[in-house]
Amino acid sequence: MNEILGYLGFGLMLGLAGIGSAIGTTTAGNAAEGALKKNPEKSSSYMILSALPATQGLYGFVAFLMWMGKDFAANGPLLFGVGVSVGLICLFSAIRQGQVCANGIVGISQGHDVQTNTMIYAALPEFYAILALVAALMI
Amino acid sequence: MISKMTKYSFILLSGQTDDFLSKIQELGVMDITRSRKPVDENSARTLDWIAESRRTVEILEKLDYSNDPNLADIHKAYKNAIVPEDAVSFVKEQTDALETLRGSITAAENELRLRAPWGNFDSSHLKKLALSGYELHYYSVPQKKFDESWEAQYPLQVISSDGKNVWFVVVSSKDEDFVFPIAEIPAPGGSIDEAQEYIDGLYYQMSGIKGRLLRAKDAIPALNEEYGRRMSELDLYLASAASQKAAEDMVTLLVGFAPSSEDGRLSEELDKMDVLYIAEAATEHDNPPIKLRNNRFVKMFEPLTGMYGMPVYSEFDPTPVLAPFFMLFFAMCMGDAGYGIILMLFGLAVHKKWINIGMFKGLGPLISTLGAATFAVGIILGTAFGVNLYEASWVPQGLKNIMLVGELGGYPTQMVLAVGIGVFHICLAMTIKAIGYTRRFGFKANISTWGWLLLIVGGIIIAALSFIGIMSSEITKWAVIAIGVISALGIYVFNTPGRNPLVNIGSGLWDTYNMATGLLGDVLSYIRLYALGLAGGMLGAAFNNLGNMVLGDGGFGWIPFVIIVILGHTINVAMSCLGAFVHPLRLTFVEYFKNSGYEGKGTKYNPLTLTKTE
Repeated sequence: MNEILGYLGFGLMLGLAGIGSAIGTTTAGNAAEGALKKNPEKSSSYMILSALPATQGLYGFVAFLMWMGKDFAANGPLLFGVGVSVGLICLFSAIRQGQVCANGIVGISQGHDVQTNTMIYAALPEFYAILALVAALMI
Repeated sequence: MISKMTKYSFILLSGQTDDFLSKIQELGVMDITRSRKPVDENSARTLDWIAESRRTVEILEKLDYSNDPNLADIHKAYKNAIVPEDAVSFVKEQTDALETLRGSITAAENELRLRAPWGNFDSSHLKKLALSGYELHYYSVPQKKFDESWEAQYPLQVISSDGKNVWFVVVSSKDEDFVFPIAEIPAPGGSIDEAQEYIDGLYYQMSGIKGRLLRAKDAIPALNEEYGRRMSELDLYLASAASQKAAEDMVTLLVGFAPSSEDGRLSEELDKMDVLYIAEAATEHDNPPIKLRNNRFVKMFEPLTGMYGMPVYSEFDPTPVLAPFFMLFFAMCMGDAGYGIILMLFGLAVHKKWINIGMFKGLGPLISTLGAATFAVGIILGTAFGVNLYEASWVPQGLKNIMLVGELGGYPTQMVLAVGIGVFHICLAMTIKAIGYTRRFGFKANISTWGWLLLIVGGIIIAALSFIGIMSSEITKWAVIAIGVISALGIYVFNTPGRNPLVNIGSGLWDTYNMATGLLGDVLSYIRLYALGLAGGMLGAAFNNLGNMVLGDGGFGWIPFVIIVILGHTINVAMSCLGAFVHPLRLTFVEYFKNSGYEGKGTKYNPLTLTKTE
């Protein structure tokens, strides 16, 4: 039972983080498609902002790599708890960051000079994914 | 490096403006301050024409009817076609007509399919039948529902059946009240021969249009020439529109910038013209256009800086720092020596124009350089084409000695390296920020920045020195205290001299919160260099495993093995390249530019010249 819990946490950590990044980057990417129709000059700004939510998936993957050597049978419940929480944090962090980036992209396409500020606002939800990664690495 | 610019202010009589601007255009180095977008109807119309003509040339260049079944007809039309002067509207007309025709053909082919079961007949016979007072009713039912007894009860004739459905007609006189158990379907509009004829006619028309479009290809060189001419005309127009008028429109004022290296030549030429001008060194306040001047290696990376934005005149050009680090990050994200070799060859092919894809035009040397770096870093990381070089028996021990494997402090060495590089990169950014801001705004305004720099970079250097063992713990303790005190004074007390010290402390605390959270996030962001490299390597290894499984004992297994390995690694190279391009770019734009205080609000140097390509 412990082992099953441990593996569940392990898998959810990777899976939820990846799902979050997928959704976040898609949200921003969809906004970029619309923005390209309106203002194709700034396509590189859209690309950078669309790539920002990709981070959480990478963090989930790094934590996954770090956990590969762990003893799942002995620490099952612990790994389940931390794994699920890390996964959930990365999931929501990425989705919301994607929404912030999408709004930033729309703003840039309308001619407002918001790129730098958008990157700062996007980094705010990302901070919690970083904390989650540190937590995963600490246990 | 940002080229030094000289600001020229011109005063000329309004009547001379056009002449003057043409002469400036011939010189080709003066960037007259002007709008980049159309300013009125005239310029907007020219820009529209320019965009249309670009699209037209693109459409014409892509035309290829060599596989068209009606090639003979197309050729005939081509020989007889005449293209009018206005090629752009002609092509638009023809392509629109082509679209409409395509729609008609689809509708006609549908009609043909509907008529197919009724076979061939002579419509005139049907008319005669109607004149005689009889009418036909048309039906189609599934085979199962067809009641054989109907044939006895009604004057019914089965026309065709394909095993699934039956098509039949029933004759009735016009006067009788005709009733049949099944609902009627509409009569076919004509015979299938007639439908086919109609379709053939449409195809013939289409060939005509295609032939004329082919003939329009001849107009491409003329279109390109006209395009160039209109571009420089538009530029001239925008420049004169940007001029300021004074003294009741008798005098025109213009501002322009040129690289200071052209000062001698320009003053000679300008003296020959009848204009009054003042030449002075440009300052940040003037917002001069930015021309970057770098060595050949760094020059390849200038498009990346352009993607974010040109530096402001008094900033440092970020490209010389961006170049080596982007190359390093790219190599770490690809993380495979074999892929490095592929990239070097690809870059060579693009440079020699053996491969001609629009997206990579002019990027050959950059791709090869990135490939070379990837090869070197791939060896150090110990991966080639997904094969773990450290565990391979055929790799010489000397090479294995430089590979980074194993663990350092409980974490994989490569991960520690990635984070370490991140720390170095950010420290470099902060140093550049301190130096740059001091140069622009003076020391007094930046005490806080220097305080943070001292704390962080000083702290890291001391930690490193004591870790290596050069400094004893006594000295380390005193050094830490000294640095701590000095930087705290700078951050909390003196950060804005002349302001209430309590407000200073408050803003210092706010800075501390931002720094702590920001720096932690930024440093950990560099973990992606490790993650991406590892992911690429593992994916390559997975494809190798797949290939090995299919290979089995050899023999015919080699064919699927080769297919899987080549396909797999090609996909992996493409996806790794995408990731290795986007993520280092993000690291540079977000982490590095933020910590180095880069604004990037400059405009690119865009002189008035005769030949324009953009």
